[in-house]
Amino acid sequence: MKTDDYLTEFIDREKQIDHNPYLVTRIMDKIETPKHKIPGVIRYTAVAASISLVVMMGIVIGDSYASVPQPYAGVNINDSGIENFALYNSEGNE
Amino acid sequence: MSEQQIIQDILNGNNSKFELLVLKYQTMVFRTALGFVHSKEDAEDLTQEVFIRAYQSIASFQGNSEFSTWLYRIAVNTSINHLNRNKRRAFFQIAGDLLQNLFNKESGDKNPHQELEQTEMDVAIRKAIDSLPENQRTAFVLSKYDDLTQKEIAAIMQSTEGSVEQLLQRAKTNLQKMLSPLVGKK
Repeated sequence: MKTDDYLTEFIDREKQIDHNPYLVTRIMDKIETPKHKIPGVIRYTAVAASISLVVMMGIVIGDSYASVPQPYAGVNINDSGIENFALYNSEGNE
Repeated sequence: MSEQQIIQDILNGNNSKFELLVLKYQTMVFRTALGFVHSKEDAEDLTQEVFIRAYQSIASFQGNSEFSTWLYRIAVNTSINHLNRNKRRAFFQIAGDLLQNLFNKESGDKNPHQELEQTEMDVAIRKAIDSLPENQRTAFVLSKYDDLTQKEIAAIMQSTEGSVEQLLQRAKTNLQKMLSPLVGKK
């Protein structure tokens, strides 16, 4: 087999490859869908503004917190009123 | 409806008429792209890119040449730009695609050894075509993949028939030089 024959065989095989039958739909979809491309400067400004807004909101919400003073509640426990556990632990009383 | 009428309709805002041009020329553009990239998926992506470019610049189509010639020019330029952008991954892509083809292919009447030999040969042919100088490669693809005459190729490449003939001859010699050692082994 000569070089030419190999080349022809290779090219013929490639030429048999068909494109996707929906290629035209894909192309027309790309063409007909309007591009709403936002200019770069506006995009970057919007991103910076939204980050600043989130930070500001964090600060404002953080500042708005004020601790409510709770009245002091002391616990007054009389130790003598507590049940004597030693009674249950001493083996001699079983 | 003539092509000139379709183009006029598109220029008047009737975008859907562009579908007629896509339907008529999609196979032609796909085949040209395939000749450059040797991959169905890449060729389809390039076909889409070519038609989008053509649509965006249709107002610049003067009608001095055939619409197909103008479209071929866009297809060739888009394909070459794509190749220049993806030079690095080209080799691995070729090898990967061919191995994938080898494993996915039905065996037919060839044994695994013959299949492997053919895959090796395919890789070598693709590498040889891809290593041709840009203008030789363009002339070769348009001649072999699109079966265009030297006159048509000359119109697309904005050159003369004589120089296209020379380019094709040189491409053939270069390919033979690159492939003959491999063919001799078989």
